[in-house]
Amino acid sequence: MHKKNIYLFIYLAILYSCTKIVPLNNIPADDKLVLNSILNPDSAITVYLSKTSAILDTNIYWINDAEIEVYKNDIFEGLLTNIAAGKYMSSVFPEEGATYSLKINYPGYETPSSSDSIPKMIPLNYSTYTTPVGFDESGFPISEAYINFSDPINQKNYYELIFLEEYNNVLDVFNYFLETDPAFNAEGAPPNYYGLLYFSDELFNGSVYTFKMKFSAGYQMDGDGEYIDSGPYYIVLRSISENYYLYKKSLAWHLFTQGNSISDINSFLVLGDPVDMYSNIENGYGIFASYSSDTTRLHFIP
Amino acid sequence: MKRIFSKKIFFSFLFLIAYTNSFAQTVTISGIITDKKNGEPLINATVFNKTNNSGCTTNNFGYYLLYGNLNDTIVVRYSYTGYEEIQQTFFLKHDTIIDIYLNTNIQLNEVVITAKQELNKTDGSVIQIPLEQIKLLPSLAGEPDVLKAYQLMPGIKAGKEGNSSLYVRGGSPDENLIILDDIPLYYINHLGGFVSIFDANAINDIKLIKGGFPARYGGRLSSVIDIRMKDGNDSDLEGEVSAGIIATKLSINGPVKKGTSSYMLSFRRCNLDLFSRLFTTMQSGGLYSAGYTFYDLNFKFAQKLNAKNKLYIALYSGRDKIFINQNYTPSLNSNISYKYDNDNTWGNNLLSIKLNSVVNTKFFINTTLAVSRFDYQTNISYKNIDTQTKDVLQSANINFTSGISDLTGKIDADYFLSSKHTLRSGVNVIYHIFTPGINAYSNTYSDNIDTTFGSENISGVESYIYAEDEWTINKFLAANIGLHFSNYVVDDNFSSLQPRIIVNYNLNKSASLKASFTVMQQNLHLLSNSGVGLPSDLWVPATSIAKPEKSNQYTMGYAYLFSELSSRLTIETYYKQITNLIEFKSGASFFGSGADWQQQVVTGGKGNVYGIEFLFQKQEGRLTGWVGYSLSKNTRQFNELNNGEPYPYKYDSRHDISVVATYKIKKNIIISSDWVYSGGNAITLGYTQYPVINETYIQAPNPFVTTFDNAYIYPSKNNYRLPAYNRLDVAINFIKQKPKGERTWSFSIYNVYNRLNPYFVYFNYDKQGEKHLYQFTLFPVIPSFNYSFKFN
Repeated sequence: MHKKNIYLFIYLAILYSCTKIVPLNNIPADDKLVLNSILNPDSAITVYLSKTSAILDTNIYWINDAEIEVYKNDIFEGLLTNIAAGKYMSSVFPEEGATYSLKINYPGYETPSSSDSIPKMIPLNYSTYTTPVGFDESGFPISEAYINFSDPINQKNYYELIFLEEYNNVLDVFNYFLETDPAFNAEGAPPNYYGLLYFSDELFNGSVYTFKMKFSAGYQMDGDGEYIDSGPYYIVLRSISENYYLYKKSLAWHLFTQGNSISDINSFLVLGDPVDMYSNIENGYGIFASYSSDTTRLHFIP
Repeated sequence: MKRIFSKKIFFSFLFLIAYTNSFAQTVTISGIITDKKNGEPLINATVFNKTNNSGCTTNNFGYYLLYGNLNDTIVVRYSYTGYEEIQQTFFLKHDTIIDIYLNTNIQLNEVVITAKQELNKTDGSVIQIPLEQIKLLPSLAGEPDVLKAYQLMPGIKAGKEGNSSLYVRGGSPDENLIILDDIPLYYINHLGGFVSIFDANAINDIKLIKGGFPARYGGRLSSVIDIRMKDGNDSDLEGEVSAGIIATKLSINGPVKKGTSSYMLSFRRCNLDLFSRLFTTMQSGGLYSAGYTFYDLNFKFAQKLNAKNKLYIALYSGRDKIFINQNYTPSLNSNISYKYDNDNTWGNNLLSIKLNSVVNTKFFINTTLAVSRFDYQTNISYKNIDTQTKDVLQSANINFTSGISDLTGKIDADYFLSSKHTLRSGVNVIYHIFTPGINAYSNTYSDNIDTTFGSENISGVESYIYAEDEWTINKFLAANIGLHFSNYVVDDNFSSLQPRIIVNYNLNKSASLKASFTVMQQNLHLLSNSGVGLPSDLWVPATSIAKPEKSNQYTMGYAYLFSELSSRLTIETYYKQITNLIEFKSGASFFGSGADWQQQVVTGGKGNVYGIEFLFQKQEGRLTGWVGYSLSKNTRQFNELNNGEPYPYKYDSRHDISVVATYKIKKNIIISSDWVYSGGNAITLGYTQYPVINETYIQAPNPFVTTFDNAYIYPSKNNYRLPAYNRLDVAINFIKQKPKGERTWSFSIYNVYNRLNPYFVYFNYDKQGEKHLYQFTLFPVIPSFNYSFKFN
């Protein structure tokens, strides 16, 4: 929060300032295939294939006529079928614990390949919340959620947490938190990051852990002035692969430091150099990663 | 074993120079050289024996000592840039103490520079710009800045536009040793770097050394900026008031007891909060006010204890503040109002006590004790207040602090051993306490996990001893040879023996050659996410993981004096190797991160900087100024960055040119101008892009939707050059003598031809949906004025 105020005087100076186009001629661009796929046991295998383009190009070049081979634990499973612009699918649902590999054949390009192992699901022990645990600067009550799970011993685990709010049978992702758990804070997410909460078990490896967060929602009063459940809310805990974790973490920073508008001045003034996007695709770019997830309702505790 | 060996070498060196003596029948002439008008000591003034072409310069307290042969009659010339010289004849029968008072010549047109006087010095690559000339130069928003004038010299860059940081010969700002009356300061900028903390009215002298560092200096790699505060006029009361767009200033100094004690008090306050508070209050309908301000307070008291001892007490306090104050009452009938205050403050405080002792005419000792602190704080407070009773119903406070505190003790001794040898030696001990608290993200969750997971306070003891010999070997050859031994204790013990050699060879009366070799070590690192030097940048100690930074610098130079033009040409080439640099890992930041800073940095970086600098200065006449040109290359290399390949430093530019001119149109009208050109800074720019999968969330039975973002491929670090930078500034000064003092009106235009220089670039789309690279310009043409009145 304090950073915003440090910039105050810089913004005052900006009022004076102006912009203009910088000619960008003869910039050498890479020409490689791009593979994007996130696997999970609840969805059929889906892969998106495209190629790189010059930085000022506004088009995406999808590729529809490539041959994409799928391997499960190094055994050939079959070819994917192109069903839409750059989108390839299989009818097979991937399995927890299995290692999947992809190999793409497309004339005129190097052969991209990649592999990832689908992590086993980590079940949620319980998830609860209570209101109020305080009041914000506008006097509104603050709620607090407690999400409990058991981190496996002697292995490195990565997680992603999603907070869902249901209203009229429609789900919405709630991602504005007043305070988040140290496990997420320790990741060093970019300022104003409102994405999903990714974190590793660095701070609690092998223990039963309660992830906490505070938010300005979840309150409702009955006729007696008592706070009651205003949900329902749901918690999705994804057990994510290391590739997924590195991809999510670098994506947050990569997009933040790209600086695609004047409002991203922070990235230039404060956050220094651009951050490379993580990729685990050999002979190409993109990401091939995976997760397994568990979902439970967030129960209100008065 | 290695350490013991190093100590042996050091003490052998001391022994050798102590016995290198001249046994001729000599007598001495010594004393203090001061400004006749205000009694301020003149530092680096020249004392030149015309009879035998020998000479010396005054030390930081204006003290000099000159040798002559018994029974000789000699003519001694005392001179100082911007002052009328004095010549005196002495018949040398015994040691003589004589204090000299020089008259200032503010118009800078009667300075006499002689070949011998300039060429005799062995002070490496030293730059000094008279403060009166700095005040006449054009300035941004009318606020003269003592450091920005030095950015116009070859080999020194500003980095970002408008910033008062100094990048000296490719080094970053943390590699500058900035000392105020012998005590190091850390963060020296106000207003996001646009104004330095040094108030020109409080400064007596500034010297910048960019290579060939004498052994007395240590602890940083790239430059020394030695700043001396005024002592205060010891005979008459005088002062100055001035007002500009940015700041209002008042300085006053005078005797406490004439000829015995004096004081100097200077205060500067930024005016911007007055406008911003009013503006934001009006804009928000009284809901909140916000703004920015700073102040600087300099105070010094000087007391002659007796003929041989003088005591100084100096104080500096400076602070910046950015604030937002909010008051909110939901409705007229509401019983509760909410108050929110957010203050960010940062600044330096320094208190020093110094004793100058002339033990005998040949032996001068300076003892200093000081305490200093730089800190950065954020205070956020929420209050719910009962509108009827005014009771505070609920409150919360969040406080972030980071900083560095130093307790310093040092003794420096000058020993004028003979006409050929002036010895300097000293010892310095600094006890540091680092508070990298900005790393500690405080959190109310603390039941089953330690939420204060940032870096802990670290203390360290940095000490050094040094010895140097300013040695006039013969009529042509002079040298300053020294050793600087430093020891630093933190979680490990780091020792370093640093040789310093500066040699000057006079080819003839007009030309000389200079060469130097210096080894430096820096026991602190500055962690910065920015290129603009924000106060939240973090000073951290060297540790066993992030070892002390080291540099070796080699210089060679040629100087030629054009006596008939009162001008000087210097050409200097240098090569600097830097090791043990650190940088943040890709994507790492101390903001909001729980990891210790040592886990977030890459270490073992190397820097290579080399270049050649040309400087032609005209120091006399109606037209004065200089032309500077620098050709340089500056690279960095880290095993974990850029695939281990070297890459250009962000402020690497091949060509830098500066032209500075001051012209006296009439006795009371002086016009000045500067023009600068610099090759574009290096940035990391994507040349290729591709779609990368992401999830977007919508309100639906299944809220997860697959979308794609644009990922950029960066070919290498700092692969793209921004357009070149250039700018012309002009100022005109109207000076008028009034019955009670001197009035000056200064009008400046910054960036006269409105060059749109890039501050940074970014990609964006135009109205037709085409994507372009845009540049952002911070300062277009900016006119300003300043009024000042010097009273006496």
